[in-house]
Amino acid sequence: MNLQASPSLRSAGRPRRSMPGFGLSLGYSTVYLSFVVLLPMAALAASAARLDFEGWIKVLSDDRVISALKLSFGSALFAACVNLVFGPVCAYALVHFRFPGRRALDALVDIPFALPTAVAGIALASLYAPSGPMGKAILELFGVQVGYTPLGVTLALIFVGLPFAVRTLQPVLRDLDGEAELAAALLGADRPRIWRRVIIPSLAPAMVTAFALSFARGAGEYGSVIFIAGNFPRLSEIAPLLIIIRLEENNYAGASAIAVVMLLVSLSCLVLINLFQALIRRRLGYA
Amino acid sequence: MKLQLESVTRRFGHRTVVDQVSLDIMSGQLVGVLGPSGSGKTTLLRLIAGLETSYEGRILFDGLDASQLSLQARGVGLVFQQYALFRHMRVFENVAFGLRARSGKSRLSSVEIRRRVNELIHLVQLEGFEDRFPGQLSGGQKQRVALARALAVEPRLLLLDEPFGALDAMVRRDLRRWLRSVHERTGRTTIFVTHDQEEALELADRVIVMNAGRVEQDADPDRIYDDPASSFVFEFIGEASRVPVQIRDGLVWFRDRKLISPRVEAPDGPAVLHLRPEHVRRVEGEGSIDVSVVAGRRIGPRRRLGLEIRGGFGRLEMDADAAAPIRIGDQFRVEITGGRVYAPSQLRPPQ
Amino acid sequence: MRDDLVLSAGDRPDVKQPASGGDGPLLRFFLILITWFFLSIIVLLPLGVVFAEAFARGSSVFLSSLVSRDTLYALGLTLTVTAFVVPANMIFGLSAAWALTKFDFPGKPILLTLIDLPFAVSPVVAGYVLVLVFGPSGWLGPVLSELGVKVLFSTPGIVLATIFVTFPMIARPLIALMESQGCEDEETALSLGAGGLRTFLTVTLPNVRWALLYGGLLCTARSFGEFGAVSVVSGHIRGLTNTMPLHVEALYNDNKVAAAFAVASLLASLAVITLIFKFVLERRLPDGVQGPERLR
Repeated sequence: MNLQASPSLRSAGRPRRSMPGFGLSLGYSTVYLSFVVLLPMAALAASAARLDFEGWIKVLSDDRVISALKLSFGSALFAACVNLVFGPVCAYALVHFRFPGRRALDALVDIPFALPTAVAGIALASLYAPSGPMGKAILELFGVQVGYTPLGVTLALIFVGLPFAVRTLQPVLRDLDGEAELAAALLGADRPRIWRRVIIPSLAPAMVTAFALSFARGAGEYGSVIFIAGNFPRLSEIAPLLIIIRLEENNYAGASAIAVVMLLVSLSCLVLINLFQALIRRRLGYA
Repeated sequence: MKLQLESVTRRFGHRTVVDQVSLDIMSGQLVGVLGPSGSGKTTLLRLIAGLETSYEGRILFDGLDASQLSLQARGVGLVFQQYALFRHMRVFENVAFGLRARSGKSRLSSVEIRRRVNELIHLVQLEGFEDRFPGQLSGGQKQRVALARALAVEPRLLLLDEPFGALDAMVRRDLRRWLRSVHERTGRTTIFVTHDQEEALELADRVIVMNAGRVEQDADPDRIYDDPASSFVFEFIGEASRVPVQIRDGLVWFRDRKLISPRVEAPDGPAVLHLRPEHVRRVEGEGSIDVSVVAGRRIGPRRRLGLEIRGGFGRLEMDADAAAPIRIGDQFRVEITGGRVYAPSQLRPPQ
Repeated sequence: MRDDLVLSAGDRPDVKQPASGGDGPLLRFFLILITWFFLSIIVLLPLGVVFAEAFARGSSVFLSSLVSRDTLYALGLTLTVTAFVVPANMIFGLSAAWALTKFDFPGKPILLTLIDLPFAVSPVVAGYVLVLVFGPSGWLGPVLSELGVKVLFSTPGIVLATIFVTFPMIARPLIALMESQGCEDEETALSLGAGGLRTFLTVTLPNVRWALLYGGLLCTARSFGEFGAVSVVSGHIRGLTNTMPLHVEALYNDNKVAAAFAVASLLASLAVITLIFKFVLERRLPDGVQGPERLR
């Protein structure tokens, strides 16, 4: 495989480049992406386009669909909020303090990312099911059932979103470490003031990113959730599972409609953070 | 090798980065391309090297259109500001890279490669460092490896982009002298790019000053300093002050006093006189400008004074003996012994 | 003025220490306690329970569930899938990174967006769109089944689903690293007379080898563990299209909890090993390259 662009490509009127391999690398990447991503996405779009307006209304007004979407997005939102509180605390403690077990805890943060979702799913389910050790204890102490309820779904999504929240904030905190804080301290700012004026504003852009990533990932999560959710229709049935159920019923229109809604929400979420980050970069003056 | 550029122009979108540049560079010359950042000097170098391939105009290597030559066939030795040493290769392998990349008849035996590489390592004074990785070298050493690597393939043309830009002042001065001596020994046509006027004037046989993509002046270092072709060159090379003057019949007037100043090509009317510190001398008596001292800083054996022309007509600088008893607030008169008034076509907006 | 500077420089023995040494001991204790508590409940406990449950019925049950025929088959299938997915994604990652970082061309942001897309797509949706293409009533399904090629409910479908979910994990760090390294090394090699292939193999590839390995590691881990997307396209045929995670699910749903956790503990051990390697590799990569799911 030679990386030199073929002569015929070169004379095709494109500006000539000093670096070889343009045609080959771009061509291969485009074909690969078209096959792996574009074609399936186009199939989804085509399938969704077969639904007319009334069809959409019909699919999306089904209260089982509504409650599934509500559950997926609602619990993802709630989990992202929880991570937005605990994520910065963990990131701050892991970056700034030296304490026993710090390295181990730091490594643990990546577990939800590395652990296969099905493994996490059965682990959470056996812990928090009403008969599981944690589930039983919480039920007895607080009278709250975790497993097989939306609360269980939320718990699983907190687990899933945790690495995003902590890992997005850590590098920012590390950069912040020392100089800016020291400068503020030398200028006579007290601790609360440094927190309010230096640490939190510097963290804000990363926190928005952490929140959005945690939310987008949580809304689409399947493996870690289905075991602990119990999957009772209209109570603890998540949207991805409903897609699978519709597919098994051969109801492609119904499945596509839910898939499109989910895709649009997570896509707009990612587009929003990209725009937001571009805005922040421009405001802070680096391109 | 003889290099010719014929109205070479390079645009990025609507921005013209290199604008109608024509040059003839003779075999064996050591040429410095000098300009502020954004003047197009690095792009010019990349065009010559063949790294940028879309441009208007012609680039000729020994009379042959270089657009016909692939990057590999140009025979150009390149040294980047950050050296671009191959991090995973030892010094020896870095220098040998070009020799080993040869194929067919020009391929060398490994004994020959070893001999040539050792020769070059000797030339750049890095004996004993052959087995180091680039990460284990100082900036100056890396720079010399990069040079040896470029010289290994016996390039027809050696191109250096800000060769000393990443080094500290001491190393920079040493390497400059050393590069000069390497050039004298190898006699290879060499072009380097720099934003440091001192470096360009000290190192090059010939300096090409660039501004906004155009060549402002192309001359030997003496001409560049003594006879800058435009107000831009005047201000970019060395210290410069500007005094508002009037031109009447080719003579330079400051308010009601005629200044001693050489020939003036400018039309009658208001103009700007460009001065260097050495063009200002303290005098007693007529034909002079009243000034007061507003600043002073030590430069080597001399003290450079900041002078304000009394009446708010601008500022001047002059050099005085470090020991001279001059204080801030002192008032005296000065005489102008030189300087340049540029015709409108040679004037550039101040930096 | 100058004296002040000298004094203050000497008076700062803790310059290197984080200024948050300024947080009071109570706050400090409180924050560390929260961190310990939160991470233990959310992460450590589930990880621990996997191993505890795996051995709950003794090591003989543990071992026999690991060497059962279905488990071994699932392991073999998972390894096969990974063996296709990782090299394919590596070649794609190198190719995409080369095109995106060495050249300027219109449509670059579109290509970058497409590479980011899988992060925004639920794994289930990823599997579902493949069903739309390769299913019996899909675009390519009928044509391929005429030709005797079975994609859905067989290995090719699982490979495709896994590729969809994992390819950015290799492409992303490569693009970030090659962008930060620029083109000067390659330009130097080319000007020294090296051809394109030689430049790529002897200069570019060694420069990005750690990032490639890093991406490959994450991609391997995810290929082993991918569940949602594979679940949709595989058809759950035991001993035929069940990968390891699907096998875990099947065992768990059959109420063979100990066996499910035995297989799960194998996957969890792999995850822990992956993290150790990841930690080692991250020290060799500049900031901003690591973190496969971090946005640009």
